[in-house]
Amino acid sequence: MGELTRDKLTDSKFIIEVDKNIIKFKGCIDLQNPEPIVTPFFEKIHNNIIRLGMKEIFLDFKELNFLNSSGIKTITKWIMKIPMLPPDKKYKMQLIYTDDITWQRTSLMILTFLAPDSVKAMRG
Amino acid sequence: MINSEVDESVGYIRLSFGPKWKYVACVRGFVQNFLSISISDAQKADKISLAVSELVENAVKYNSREKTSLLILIIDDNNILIESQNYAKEENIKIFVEELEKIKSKDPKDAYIEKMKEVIDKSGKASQLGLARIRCETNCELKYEITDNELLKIVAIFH
Repeated sequence: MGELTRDKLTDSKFIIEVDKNIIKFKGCIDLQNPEPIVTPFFEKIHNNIIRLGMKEIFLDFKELNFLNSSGIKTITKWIMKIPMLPPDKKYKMQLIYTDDITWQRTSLMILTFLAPDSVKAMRG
Repeated sequence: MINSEVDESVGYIRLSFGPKWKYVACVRGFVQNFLSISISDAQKADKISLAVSELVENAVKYNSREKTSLLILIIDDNNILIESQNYAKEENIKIFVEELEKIKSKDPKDAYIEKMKEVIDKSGKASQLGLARIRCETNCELKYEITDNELLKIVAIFH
């Protein structure tokens, strides 16, 4: 089983960093339409996870100060790809939050209901 | 406020701004600061700021004229009212009413999850998740009023 190579998506207000099995979100995702930027990046990560046969990844939101509903939609799209995979390709996704930023726990907990067998939220 | 004027003996703030996307973060930050000095529950202030941000995003996205406004009225920590106002096209008002009534007819969590699953195949500038998110994540009561000249007022009440 391999690991994700280092990668980064940078916008004026946020950074998404990939390193091994951790994807770190930093800053503030509040674009009117983040899909053209963010969705292809998530699709690339998702495809690499499958190609490498990885079984677990961590999405670390502790340094993300704000995520609007359009940003939530891009993560929803990624999450909803996991249940569609054949059993041997499925992987677990852990959403890491901090209690210091109020929206994180509530927003990320809700996302786990989209794919309860694959996605969990945990305090980091 | 719907059908009444603001009683100036309570805490309130009213903002009018042009419907520019770059103002949304600015309004959110301002409101967060205002709430942090106005109510004692910091988490509640954060949740209300989230709702304000989603309402202002909607007001900017669907505005049909150069005018949007926001009122925050604080009666006490358990009675806080947010009202966003924007003009909107008739077809967008119709969609809004249908969506809100659909969301309100269900359990907040179920409505939000159902909406998330519904929108993943849709692309475009509108996430269409904002109202369901507000209701689910902030437990507020959502109301609306539409005036004859296509002015849409959305009210969120926090207890």
